[in-house]
Amino acid sequence: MKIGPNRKDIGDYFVSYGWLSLIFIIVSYVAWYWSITTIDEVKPYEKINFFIESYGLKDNTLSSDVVSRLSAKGVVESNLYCYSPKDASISSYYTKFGTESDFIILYQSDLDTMFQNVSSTSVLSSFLSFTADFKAAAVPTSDYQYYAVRGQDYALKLYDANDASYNALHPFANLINFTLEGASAESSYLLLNASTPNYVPYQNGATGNAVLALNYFLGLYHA
Amino acid sequence: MEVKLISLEGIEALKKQKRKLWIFVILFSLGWVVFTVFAFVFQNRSTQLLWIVLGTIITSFWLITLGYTFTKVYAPLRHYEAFSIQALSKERVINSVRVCELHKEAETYKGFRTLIFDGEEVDEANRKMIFRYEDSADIHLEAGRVYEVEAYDDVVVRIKEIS
Repeated sequence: MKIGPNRKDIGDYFVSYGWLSLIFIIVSYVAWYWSITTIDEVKPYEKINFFIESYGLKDNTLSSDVVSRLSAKGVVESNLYCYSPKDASISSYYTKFGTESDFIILYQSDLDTMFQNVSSTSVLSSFLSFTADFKAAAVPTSDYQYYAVRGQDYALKLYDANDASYNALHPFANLINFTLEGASAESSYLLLNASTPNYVPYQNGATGNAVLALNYFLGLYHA
Repeated sequence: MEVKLISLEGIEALKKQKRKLWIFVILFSLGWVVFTVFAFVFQNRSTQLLWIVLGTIITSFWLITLGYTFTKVYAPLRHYEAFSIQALSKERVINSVRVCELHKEAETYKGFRTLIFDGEEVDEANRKMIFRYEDSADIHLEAGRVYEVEAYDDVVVRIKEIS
């Protein structure tokens, strides 16, 4: 019996099993696409993310600046997730994006709510405190104010609703719209998310890129 | 001219072909495995699209080739081998047959491809019969000639030219 391929048999095969060949092609593509994109997926230690609760962002190049500044340290992606405090879905956005962001910027009322029962919740362990060592490494000047919980600084003030001179010295308003006409002004703070792997040596993780990014970010918006 | 289309040697040859086919399948699959390992070792973010396209093409080709091999080569081989073993183990009919018409279109019969010819059984008052033989068999029949045909289940096992 001749078993070599011939044109007629090949033609017959595609007529009879064309559907199977199509499935093979689709399965091959899905398998290769899924496996390679999963391997090449940007890892949390390659990202610097900001979750910003505010009334919007002004034109900025912060994401690309952070990437170009820290690319040599392995950062390949930076995202700014900005949502309005009036957005009904902000809690779900926070769960989706905030929990994986290195920096979380929230209004004071949210901090007050979050930290009101620190003894009965594990909320404190979700954030890194601004220790003296951390401040020395990441905070370029000592003129910042903090939100303290149990005597420890847990959030750095970015915007003061009642002190124009603080805002002039720290012009984060050039990046973030902290106020909205008709809405009462509120101070805003930056928290350090302890669950990201970018706070070495202040936290177990993979890189110290968030420390470097914070230093760069604060320096960028300082008069 | 006498041709044995189904014989013990023929069955041995079919088994050898099956073995060769398995070796081909294994080596071809090994080639695919080597390519896949190579792709995953050398791929990176800047070349990922290239590897996705190449991987899709090569994997599709591999799967389609295996599909073709099993449906169009291995399955007929296995069916013909099984039929051959059965044909040799059963009683066969031997008749003098005049070939009336040779059909050119192959037809699948019990899982393998056959060619058909119409014949008349010379010893049985020219009773009309249909015979088949494996389509790649090396025989040259001529209409009008008489052959001694040994057949099982209408499939020619041996054929010998008489006139």
